[in-house]
Amino acid sequence: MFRIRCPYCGERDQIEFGYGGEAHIARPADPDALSDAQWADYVFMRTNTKGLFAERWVHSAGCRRWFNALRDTATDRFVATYVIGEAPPLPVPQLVPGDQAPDPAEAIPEEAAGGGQR
Amino acid sequence: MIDERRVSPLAHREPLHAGDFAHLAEDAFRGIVMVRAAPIHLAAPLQAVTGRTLPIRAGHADLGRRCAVLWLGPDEWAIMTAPDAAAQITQELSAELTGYHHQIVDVSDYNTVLTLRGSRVRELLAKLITIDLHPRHFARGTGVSTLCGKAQVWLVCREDETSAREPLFEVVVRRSMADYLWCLIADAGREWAMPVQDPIGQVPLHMPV
Repeated sequence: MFRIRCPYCGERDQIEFGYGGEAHIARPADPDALSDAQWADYVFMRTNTKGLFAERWVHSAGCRRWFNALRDTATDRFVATYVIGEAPPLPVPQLVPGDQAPDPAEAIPEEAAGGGQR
Repeated sequence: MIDERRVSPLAHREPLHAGDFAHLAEDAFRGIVMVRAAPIHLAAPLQAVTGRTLPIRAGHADLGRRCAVLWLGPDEWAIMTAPDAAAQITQELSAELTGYHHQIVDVSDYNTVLTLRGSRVRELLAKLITIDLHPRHFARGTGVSTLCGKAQVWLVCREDETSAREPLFEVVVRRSMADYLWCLIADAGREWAMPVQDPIGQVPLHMPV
């Protein structure tokens, strides 16, 4: 049980909030141009950070607004909260597209990547 | 247009009294209007239609005798009015906001208002609500959206016309949660001898631990 500072309402109890996963994941501009592996990477793959992590929260029992938070996943300490659209107040180690090694599109044969058929 | 056959969500309950400590009653058929618009567009029309000032800080409310405006979000407010005044306010405000991006919904039938008076109301509500209800933090003119037990409510603290010393607390709750909340508040008031209320369907108020 901990308290979270909503950027709009101020500090409230955790039970008023909902969790929304990792923040700052941009939807690909042209999904049709992606391979299935790249699309699966966008939809499912998250960084699983130990340490400072940017994530989305929603103040569902209060102002019902989404916002971003920086939380230390090892200690559960909230370092900062900030409104959607703002840059994180601290640099956050994050995977950028194409940064994964090895590239899943190269590692997985074309048939296996397409729709999960064997 | 008001249907005379309408029934309030808590019509099956009688007001509860626990000495001077706490009084619980339903304030039925209050008009409630939800407004979403940019504050810069809404401030002047709201002043013209309701005579109230738009609260722009979290937890603030402008509470008049006939009409109250509650901050709910950076672009969202609730207007609470006398019974049956919601339709007119909806209409007038819509006309004033024509041309601006906005949304105005009359949610009177969707909600009901519970009123709490008495010297121990803060202590009673503190059992159910996680925010600080100390008079220094939650004074008259404060209104927040929060959780009361498992129900989402708006809690308003305002001047009580019948008592100079104690404020009046209004709890706005959705229709479907009204009976649960009524019984939960009665349960929290047991300490001051508030009568026991059985929930509809004998649903347990508290989850087994």
